[in-house]
Parts: sequence; C-alpha cells; structure tokens
Amino acid sequence: MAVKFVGDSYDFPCANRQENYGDDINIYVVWDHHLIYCAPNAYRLPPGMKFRDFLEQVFAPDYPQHPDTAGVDWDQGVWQLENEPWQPDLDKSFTENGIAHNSFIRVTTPGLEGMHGVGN
Amino acid sequence: MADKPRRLNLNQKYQLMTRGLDWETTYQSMDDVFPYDKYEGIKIKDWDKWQDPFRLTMDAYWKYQAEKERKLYAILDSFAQNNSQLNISDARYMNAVKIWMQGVTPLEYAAFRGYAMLGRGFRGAGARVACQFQSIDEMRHYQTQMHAFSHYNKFFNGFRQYSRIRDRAWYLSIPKSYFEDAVTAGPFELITAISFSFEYVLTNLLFMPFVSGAAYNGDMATTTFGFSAQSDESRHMTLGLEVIKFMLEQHEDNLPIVQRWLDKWFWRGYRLLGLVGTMMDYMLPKKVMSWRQAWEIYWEESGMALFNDLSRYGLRPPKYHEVATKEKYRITHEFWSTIYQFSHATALYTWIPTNEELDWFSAEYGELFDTVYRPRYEYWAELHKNGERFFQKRLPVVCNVCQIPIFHTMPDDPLMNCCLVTEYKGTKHQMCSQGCKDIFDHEPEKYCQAYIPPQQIYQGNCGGATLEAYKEWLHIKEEETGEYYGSEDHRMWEEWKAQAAGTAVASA
Repeated sequence: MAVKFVGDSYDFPCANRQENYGDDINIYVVWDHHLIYCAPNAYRLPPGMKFRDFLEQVFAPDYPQHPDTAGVDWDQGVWQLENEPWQPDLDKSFTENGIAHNSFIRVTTPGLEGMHGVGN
Repeated sequence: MADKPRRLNLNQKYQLMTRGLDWETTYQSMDDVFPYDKYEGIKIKDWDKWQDPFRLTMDAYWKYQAEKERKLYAILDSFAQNNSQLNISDARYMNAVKIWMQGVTPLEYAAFRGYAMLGRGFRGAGARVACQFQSIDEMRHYQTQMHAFSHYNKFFNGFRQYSRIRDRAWYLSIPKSYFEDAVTAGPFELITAISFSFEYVLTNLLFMPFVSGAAYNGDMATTTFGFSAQSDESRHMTLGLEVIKFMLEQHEDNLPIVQRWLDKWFWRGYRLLGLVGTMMDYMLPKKVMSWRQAWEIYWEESGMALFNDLSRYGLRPPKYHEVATKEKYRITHEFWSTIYQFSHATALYTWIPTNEELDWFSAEYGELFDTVYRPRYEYWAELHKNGERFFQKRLPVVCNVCQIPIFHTMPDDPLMNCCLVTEYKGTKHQMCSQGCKDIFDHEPEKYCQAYIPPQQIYQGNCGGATLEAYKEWLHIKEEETGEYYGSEDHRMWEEWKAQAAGTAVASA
C-alpha cells in the first residue's frame, strides 16, 4: 500500500522519530484496570534509566488519587511490551530490557485491579 | 401589447451560465489545465453525464442567501438587545457552544478553502460550479456562526481566542486534523470525505441534535443560525450523493477506491463525532436525545438503509461500523471522563453530572453505565467534595490518526484500553483502533508526518515540556478552565440569576 501523489517523490521523515528527542526516548505505559486515569501515559526519559526507578519515582506518582497506588508491588506485575507477553528485569535499564523509542508497555497487578469491581 | 423579451427559465439560465461558458482548451492540454483530477486513479469517461444536483445561478443564489441573512441578523440583533443570554437553560450549556466555536466553526472555514480548490480542480463544469457555491456557503456559515456566538463572548469565557487555540490546543487538533487530512488528499477523496461521508452520512448526527439541543436550551442565536444553514446543508448532502453515484457509474475500476475512502472517512467521521456526542450527552442541561439513541436512529436505521440502496453499485457498509455500534454504550462516557480530567488544559469547564442527570444516563445507557461510569463519577464527586478535584497531570498517548487521547477500550472489552502499534521507517506509531490503524497502514507516508500534541510538547515545540508551560503557550487563563462549579462563568451566572429574581421580587 502506498500514498498516491503528484510529482516525482513523496518522502518525509516521521514527526516522532527518536532524533527529535536528543538523547532521550519516548515511552508509553498503561496500568491496566485503573481506568479513572483515562489513557496510557506518555514519558520522555533517558534510555539508561533503571526500570524500577521509573516505576517507583515517576510512574506510580502519576496515579496519586487511586487507592491501589499505595500498596502496589511492581515485582508482582504481569507485563506486555508492544501488546506481547514480556518479562522485564526491573533492576535493569530501559535499553537492557529491550524498551526502545515509542515502546508501549502494559502492566496488570493481580490483586490490585481497580475499583468497583470493574477496573475503575 | 408589445412583445416583452422572452425570459429564460432557471434551467435555461443555468445551462447558459455554467456549462455554456465552459470549453475544451486547445492551446494547452486539458490535463495541464486540470492537473489534479486523475492522479487518484478515478476514471471519468464523460463529465457531461454529471447530473447537476441543484441548478443555481449566481443571481438566484444571492437572492436566496440575502433573504436568509436579513432574517438571521434581525433575530441576532433582537437577541442581543434583549439580553437573551440570560434565557439559556444553565451556564453549563455554554460549553457546548464553546466547543462548537473552537472546533466546528473553523471547520467551516477549512471547508470554504477545500471547496474553493475543488471549484477550480475538476474538469467538469457542473461539478466545479456546485463546489463554488458550496465554497461560498461554507464561508457564510463560518461568518454567521461567529456573529451568532460573538454576543456570548461578552458574557462567558472560552470564546475570546478561538483561532489561536484552534491551531494549538490538543483537543482541537481532533477536528483540525480531520479536515487537514481531507484537504491534503486529491479532489475526489476530498469531496467523498466531506460531501458524502460527512455531509450525507454523518451530518444528521451533528446538526439535528445540536440545533434542536440549542433550541431546547433557550439558545435562539444558535438555533437561528442552524435554520439559516439548513437549506445549504441539504444542497451539500445532495452533492455528496451525486458525486458517489457519478464516480461509480463512470467506471468499474472506481469501486474499490471509493469503497476504501468510505471505509476511511466513515471511521474518521465517527471518531470526530464522539466529541459531538459527548457535548450532546453532557453539555446540554436539558437533554434532547442521547448519543446511543441518535446513533440508532441516524446510523443503524438511516445509515444502513442508505448503504442498502447503494449496494446496487457494489458498495458495502463501511468497515468497522459494527465496532462503532458496539461502542455506542461507552464512547461518550469515556470521552467525558477524558475531558473531565484534562479540562485544566482546555478553554472549557467540566463537571460531574447532577443526580437527575445520572439517572437519565442510567435510563439511556443501562447496565454498563451503572456498573462502570456512575461509580466512577461518584468517586470523583467525593474527591471534589473533599477538596481534591480529580485532574490528570501526565500527558496521554494520542492516536496517530484521529489524534484523540487513547482512552478507547477494546471492541469486546470496555474495561481494557486499546492501543495498537505499527512501525514505519523504524519509528513506532500508536493507534486507538483497528479502524485508525488501517488508515495509517494504507498511507504511512502521510500519517507519519502527523503533528501530535503530546509528542510536540515533549520535543519542546509548544512553549516547554510541562503542562504549565504548554498552558501558557495556549494563552489559556486559569479562570476559563477546569472545574465548572466555582468557576467565573458559574459565579457570574448565579449573580445574574439572583439579580433577575431580585428585580422580579422588587417589582411584584
């Protein structure tokens, strides 16, 4: 499949390519079954950041008004990368875990599955 | 009696003044004069087979439109002179008008530009003339809407800088990108996208509930504009149907191209209308019709009947329409949840519906509302009562095609976010749905260029990498944003109502 165009070529760089972020990468993360926070979150971060530091210091604080946040244990998380099952090592960096620019990560935390019995 | 000169009838006048003025070029090839109407692959054997859907000449057009303008502006004047802004149902209603002014009115201007291009681009004179009239209509709608709404700008927040935030604000990139996608396509795709998919198939979902909602909520300014635009809209719809039939009757090779455009523009239009449905469900204090009911009447019944009729041309209903139908119980609540938590970065106010309104939602939406969204709203209301109004501080992932934050859930699981990934030129892109992903995958060269607000914010192109810096760049002031209750609009409204009640008591 390809776009139809007038002229000799139609070739443009991706607006969201990594080089637009200096040495950083974008990553997208969702804590499933916590739908009062409506969408996956977007982050611009250094790729050498330790995954656990991200989860504890950046990601969990983004769910301040959810009662599950206080008791969360990311070691119990069930993970997906690009919607495929995946087991990260929390004590390694994004890069070492195979997380690249624009990666999409999902996590569910058994036992902490939101409010009202429906993942709110 | 002397013979009067014979007057031409409308049809004769039309023939002479349009096709009669057209000619086959000889010094230059027709392909050089009309360079854009073949590259999309649409094959036209005979432009003379175009059935003009409305036979207007310029003098007749001016006469009709001038008559409508006289009535419209007389009513707008009396509306302003009588302080009729005090007659609306509630100041919360104003947010529906703000969304319209910020998001929809600029689309009229975009349509004016698009149809001006089409009015030059087609080599068939009949199609060109029809598009030229529509172009003027769209400019008129842009102006009359702005004039109808300008009175509200004196009394309510959120109107004063619509054009800047239209270009910059994340939630307005949804309608903006929709039209920019259309006008950067070729002429046949543009006219299919707007005249058919939008005006013919989906516009009833936009105009009917909005204009009757405006009337029901005491907004005579908007209602009058709506009536003034209605006869134009019916002309636009007729053009939409004609162009589809014309393409399909001209060559069998056109069918798969047209079908793909209908698939694409149905889905893009449906995603865009989620915003309108949300406005209808949540921003009209006096309810007219729920999104669910509107979807059933205008899509499941009328839309499907239309596609039944079109099946004789080989067309089938657009892809993923059954997904849209599954989403009718959830889309507006998911959208409101999103605007509610991000309204501190909009020129709108949001709120938790009243108990009576929650009961109306329960009746209209049933079990899913009662188990998911109602307890969610009650939780947020409780937080608000405790002085912890719920706002989301982190930027969301946004769909690379429809440009809506990916709040959407899986077609068969309304409790699980749906976020699909595709890779192009070594860069991953996220989409909200299979409908949007198909659109990206068909023309990745186009959509990889999309200007996605959170990405641009993080790249440092929008004033800074924080929400605060972004808001400053939008020029949005604290008093025109966030929670409705306690807002400037709310306080002013309560004062005006108290004054009116006081005057009534004093004169009694």
